Amino acid sequence: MVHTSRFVFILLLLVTAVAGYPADTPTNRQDNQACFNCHGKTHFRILSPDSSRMVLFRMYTDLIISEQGFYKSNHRNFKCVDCHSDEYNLYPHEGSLKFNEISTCLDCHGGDQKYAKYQFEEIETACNRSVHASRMGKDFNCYQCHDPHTYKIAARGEQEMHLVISQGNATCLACHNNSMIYNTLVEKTLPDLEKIHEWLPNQGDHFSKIRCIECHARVDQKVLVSHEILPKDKSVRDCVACHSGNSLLLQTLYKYRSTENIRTMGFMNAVILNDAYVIGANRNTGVAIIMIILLSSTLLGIILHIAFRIKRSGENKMIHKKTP
Amino acid sequence: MYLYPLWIRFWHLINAILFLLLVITGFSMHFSWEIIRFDLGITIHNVTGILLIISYGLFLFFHFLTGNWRHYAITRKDLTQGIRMQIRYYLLGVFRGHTNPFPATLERKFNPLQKTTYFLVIYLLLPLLIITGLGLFFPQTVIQSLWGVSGLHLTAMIHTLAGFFGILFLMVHLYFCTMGATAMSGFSSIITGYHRGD
Ligand code: HEC
Ligand code: HEC
Ligand code: HEC
Ligand code: HEC
Ligand code: HEC
Ligand code: HEC
Ligand code: HEC
Ligand code: HEM
Repeated sequence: MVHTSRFVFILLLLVTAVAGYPADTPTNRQDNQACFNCHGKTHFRILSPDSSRMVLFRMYTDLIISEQGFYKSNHRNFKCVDCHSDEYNLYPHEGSLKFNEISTCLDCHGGDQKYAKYQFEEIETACNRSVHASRMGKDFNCYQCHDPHTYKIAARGEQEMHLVISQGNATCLACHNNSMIYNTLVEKTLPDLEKIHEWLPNQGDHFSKIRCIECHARVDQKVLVSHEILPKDKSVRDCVACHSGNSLLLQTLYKYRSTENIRTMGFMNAVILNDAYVIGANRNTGVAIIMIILLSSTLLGIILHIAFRIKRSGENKMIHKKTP
Repeated sequence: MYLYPLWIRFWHLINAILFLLLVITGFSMHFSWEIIRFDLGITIHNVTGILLIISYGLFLFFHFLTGNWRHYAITRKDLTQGIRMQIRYYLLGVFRGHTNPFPATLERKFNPLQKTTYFLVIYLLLPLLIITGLGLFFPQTVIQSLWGVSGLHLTAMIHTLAGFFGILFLMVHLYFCTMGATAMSGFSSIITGYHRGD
C-alpha cells in the first residue's frame, strides 16, 4: 500500500514535470516580458521620475526586436540578461552599459562537444579569411550576418527549401540591398545587385532557387555552410558549375539533404528533384537509356536494310549482265 | 509531278534547319556536353524555338488554306490495311522487286505510313514540343505540382522525351527519303518540288 502511493506520487511528479515543461516552449517568457514591453514595440509609456505622469516615447527602430522571431530562434530559451547585463532591467539604462562586451558565438560554442557538428572553429577560420573580414577586420563579426535574437538554423532544419534560400539571401541583402547599413561599414556607393548580375539570365528564378553563397563562397567539404566569401572575381560565373550532372549544388545548397538521403535511401540524384529544375543536372537516366536503346536499334535496322538493298542491287546488276 | 509547292519547300527548309539547331543545342544543354557554351546554347535554343513556333504557325495556316491537310487525313483503311501493306513492301517487297503499293500521285501525295508519321509529327509531336517548351520558357505558368511530382519536372521530362522522338523521326524520315526512284531523288524533290515516280 505504501509502495503504491509512493509510486503514484512519483508518477504524478513526472507528469507535472513533463506537462510543465513541454519540450519546445521558451522558458523565460515572463522574465523577458519586461524588456519586450519596450523593445518589442514601436513605442512605450513610462512613469516620469517624479511619478507624476505617464510619458509616451518612440522606440528607435534599430532597437526593436521581433518577439516572434526571438521565440523561434536558436536562443529562444535565453533570458535577455543572459547575454546582456541585468542592469538593463533599470530604465533609463546606465550609459556605460553600452561598452560592456557581449559574448561572441565562439565564447559559448567554441570547443563544446555538444555543438561539434556545427564546426564553429572551422567557420570562424573561414570567416577570418573572407573578403568581409579581410577588408573590414573585426568590425565584421558573426553578428553582422547572424542576428543574435532571431537567427535560426535553416539548411540543417526540416524547412522547405525555398525558406532556406530566402533566409540565406535575406542575410546578405540586409546589407547589399540597404545602403544605410552598408555605409555604416564602408563609405562607398552600394553596387546595384540587379545590374551586377545582369549576365545571369532569369535572374529572378535563379535568386529564388539558389543562395548568394552558392556562387560567392568557397566550396568547402568540411562544413555544411561554407563561410569563406570570396572576392568578386573569384565568384562562380560558369553556368555548368550548377547545370551539370555533378552540380555544385549537391555540395552546397543540397549538401545536407543529399547526405541525409544517401544515409537513409542510398541515392542522391533525386535530391534536387522536387525543388528546382536545373537544366543539365536533373537528367533522368532511365529515360535516356531507353531512348538510346530505341535510337540505336532503329539505326541498326536502317543499316541492315541498307545492307540488303546493296546486296539486292548487286544481284540485279548480275541479272542485267546475263541478259543483254 | 509537281508535289511540293514553294511554300512547303520553304517551310520545310527553315523547319529542318531550326530543328537541327534545336536538337544540337538541346542535347548540349541536357547532357551538359558543352558542344556549345552553355549560355550561348540556351540563347540559341530559345531563339530557334521561338522561330520554330512562328514557322509552325505559318505552316498550319497554309496547310489548311491550301488544302494540304487532306493529304494528312488518315482513313480507316489506311490503319487496317495500308500501313501493313506498306511495311510489308519495305521489309520484303523492295527486295523482291515488287512495286510500291501506294505510289505518289497528285491526289495521294503520301503512302499510308508517311501519312501516319507526318500526322503524328505535325499534330502531336511538334505541338507537344512547343507547349512544353513554352512552359519551360515561362516557368511561372507551369502548374506547381501534379500528383506530387514537380510540374516543371514533368514538363521538362516530356520536352526531352519529345525531343528524343523527334530525332527518332528524323532518322527514319531521312532514311525513307532515300527509298525513292534513286537514293537522292527524294531529297531533290523537296528542293525542286518535282517528284520522280518510283
Ligand atoms: C522602459 C523601456 C525599456 C525597457 C523596460 C528596457 N529598455 Fe533597453 N532601451 C530602451 C531605450 C529607449 C533604449 C535606447 C537607448 C537609451 O535610451 O538608453 C534602450 C537601449 C537598449 C540597449 C542598447 C544600448 C546601446 O545603445 O547599445 C540594450 C542592449 C537594451 N536596451 C537592452 C535591454 C534589456 C536586456 C532590457 C530588459 C532587461 C531592456 N533593455 C529594457 C528602453 C527600454
Ligand atoms: C545570445 C545572446 C543574446 C540574447 C539572448 C539577447 N541578446 Fe540582445 N544582443 C546580443 C548581441 C551580441 C548584441 C549586439 C549585436 C551587434 O553587435 O550587432 C545585442 C544587441 C541588442 C540590442 C541593441 C540593438 C541591436 O540589435 O544591435 C538590443 C536592444 C538588445 N540586444 C535587446 C535584447 C533583448 C530585449 C533581449 C531579450 C529578448 C536580448 N537582447 C537577448 C546578444 C543577445
Ligand atoms: C551566451 C552564450 C551563447 C552565445 C553568445 C551564442 N550561443 Fe548559440 N546557443 C547557446 C546555448 C546555450 C544553446 C542551446 C540552447 C537550447 O538548447 O535551448 C545555443 C544554441 C545554438 C544553436 C542551435 C543548436 C541546436 O542544436 O539546436 C545554434 C545553431 C547556435 N546556438 C548558433 C549560435 C551562433 C551562430 C551564435 C553567434 C551568432 C551563437 N549561437 C551565440 C549559447 C550561446
Ligand atoms: C557573411 C555572412 C555570415 C557571416 C559573417 C557568418 N555567417 Fe554563419 N551563416 C551564414 C549563412 C547565410 C548561413 C546559412 C543559414 C543556415 O543554413 O542556417 C550560416 C550558417 C551558420 C551556421 C549553421 C551551420 C550548420 O551547420 O547548420 C553556423 C553554426 C554559423 N553560421 C556560425 C557562424 C559563426 C560562428 C560566425 C562567425 C565566426 C558566422 N557564422 C558568420 C552567414 C554568415
Ligand atoms: C553587415 C553588412 C554585410 C552583410 C550582411 C554582407 N555583406 Fe558583403 N559586403 C559588405 C560590404 C560593406 C562590402 C564592401 C567591402 C569593400 O568593398 O570594402 C561587401 C562586399 C561584398 C562582396 C564584394 C567583394 C569584392 O570583391 O568587391 C561580395 C561578393 C559580398 N560582399 C558578398 C556577400 C554575401 C554573399 C553575403 C551574405 C552571405 C554578404 N556579402 C553579406 C557588407 C555586408
Ligand atoms: C550565379 C552566381 C551568383 C549568384 C547566385 C549571386 N552572385 Fe553576386 N556575383 C556573381 C559574379 C560572377 C560576380 C562578379 C561580377 C563581375 O565582377 O562582373 C558577382 C558580383 C557580386 C558583388 C560585387 C559587386 C561589385 O561590383 O562590387 C556583390 C556585392 C554580389 N555579387 C552580391 C551578391 C548577393 C548579395 C547575392 C544574393 C542575393 C548574389 N551576389 C548572388 C555571381 C553570383
Ligand atoms: C549556382 C548555381 C547556378 C549557376 C551558376 C547557374 N544556374 Fe541557372 N539555374 C540554377 C537553378 C537552381 C535553376 C532552377 C530554377 C528553377 O527551378 O526555376 C536554374 C535555372 C536556369 C534556367 C531556367 C530558368 C527557369 O526559369 O526555369 C536557365 C535558362 C538558366 N538557369 C541559365 C543559366 C545560365 C545561362 C547560367 C550561366 C550564365 C546559369 N544558369 C548559371 C542554378 C544555377
Ligand atoms: C534535316 C533534314 C531533313 C531532310 C533532308 C528532309 C527531307 C524530306 C523530304 C525529301 C521530303 C519529301 C519526301 C516525302 O514526302 O516523304 C520531306 C517531307 C516532309 N518532311 Fe522532311 N526532311 C528533313 C527534316 C524534317 C523535319 C525536322 C521535319 C519535322 C519536324 C520534317 C517534316 C516533313 C514533313 C511534314 C514532310 C511532308 C511535307 C508535305 O508535303 O506536306 N522534315 N522531308
